[in-house]
Amino acid sequence: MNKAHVLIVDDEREFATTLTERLRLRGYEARAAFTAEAAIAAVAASSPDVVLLDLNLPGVRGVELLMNLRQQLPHGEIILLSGHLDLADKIEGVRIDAFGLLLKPVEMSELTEKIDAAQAKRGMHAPR
Amino acid sequence: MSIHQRFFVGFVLALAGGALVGVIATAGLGQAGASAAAGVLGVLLAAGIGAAHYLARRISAPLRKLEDSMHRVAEGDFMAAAPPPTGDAEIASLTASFIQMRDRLKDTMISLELAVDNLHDKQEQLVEVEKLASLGRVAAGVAHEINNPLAVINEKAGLLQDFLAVAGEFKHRERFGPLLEGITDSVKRCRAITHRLLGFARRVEVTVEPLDLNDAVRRVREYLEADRAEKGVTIELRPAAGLPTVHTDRVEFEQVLINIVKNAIDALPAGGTIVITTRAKNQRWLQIVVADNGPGIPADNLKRLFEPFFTTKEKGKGTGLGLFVSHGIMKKLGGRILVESVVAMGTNFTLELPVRHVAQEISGE
Repeated sequence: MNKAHVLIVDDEREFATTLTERLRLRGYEARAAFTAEAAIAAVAASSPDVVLLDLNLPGVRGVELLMNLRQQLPHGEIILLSGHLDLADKIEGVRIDAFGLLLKPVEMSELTEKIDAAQAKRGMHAPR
Repeated sequence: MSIHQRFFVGFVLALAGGALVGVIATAGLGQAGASAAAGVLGVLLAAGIGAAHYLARRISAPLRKLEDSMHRVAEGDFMAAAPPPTGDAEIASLTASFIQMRDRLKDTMISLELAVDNLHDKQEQLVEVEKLASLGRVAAGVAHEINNPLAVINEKAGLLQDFLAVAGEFKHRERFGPLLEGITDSVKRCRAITHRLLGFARRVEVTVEPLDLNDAVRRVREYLEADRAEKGVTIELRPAAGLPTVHTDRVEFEQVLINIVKNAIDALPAGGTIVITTRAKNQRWLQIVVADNGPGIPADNLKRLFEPFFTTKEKGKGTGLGLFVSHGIMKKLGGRILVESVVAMGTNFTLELPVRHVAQEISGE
């Protein structure tokens, strides 16, 4: 199984860029988008396998972005990353069919496990 | 018009009528007859006035006494005596009614006072709970804010570690590894705190399942066996037989129990004893009492025990969140947590759980 192509969507630039670099060091294709618009553009341009999405993206409701992503990426997996976790987030996660929900700060090993699992699940549905 | 006045008027009218009859009847009796009649009239007048006065008093006196008693009841003296019986049926009936009303009022006042006391207590409790709840919300907000920069520190330190793994030799190289680990360890500690705070504040459904309290206590003792042994402390169990099964969130409740027992272990010197008793308080409530013979908690600290970040442990040991979170969990489970302590004698923590789970939602948010 190829390592996933990951898109990180988070307005915390320092977090997103550093994480991108670390994932690349581990063999993943990775890029970062800091706004909803950039995320939509990136998805259109490169069709990632897995999207790491921060629900608290300012400006647009994370959910709307998500619906949009879902449309463009019917077979992509979405993992939600968040600075806090409450019932509302969990409900959103289920509604948008997210693969998982992780609370920041997250252990790298935990994250890669989640990404690989998501990728494996994709492999079972739609070969690229 | 008063009773006296009525009697007098009545008497005067009767007398006037009688006098008239008398005058007519004695007309023609002559001088002597008229004098005699006048004499009789005079006697009748005197007797009549006396009788009227006496009769009037028989009614007005007890009424005045009744009025006095009523005034005293109105002032709040429910022990005000009723006037003694006079033999008059109507007065007796009125007095009986007064007594009944007075006693009813007394009972009502007592009930009211109890209710007001109760209300005051509940209000105090509510204020406390509200304070803790809003502290919880603030804590959660702060935790959320902190998680983001924490994630940045985590990733950057992590990236440095990644680079170090493949870097060649350079001056001070051997210092980098441990230093970076120091940073990531600290991040983990912060993370534990923020996750705990958020865990407390989140509005999560309670998972209800049947729980055997005695089993829970045994499990917790096993779980803390290493801490217990290391400290040299004894844990004695006194499980009640025939306890009803309680329906509640097992994991959350055991978390509270672990917190309490661990605190006791930490507080006790070597050789100390912890006694954990389970019992049914009554039909609706079960109790677990964790009693230790440790140093006890001074009154000032006792007041603040459930505040977040309140701890008497030295810096770095313990977050001061254990009891705050435990209090919140117990409330969420429909129960409560109580503490009593005597300095130099020991401390008792009592956890109370309802036998049937009552869904509790943390308000606000």
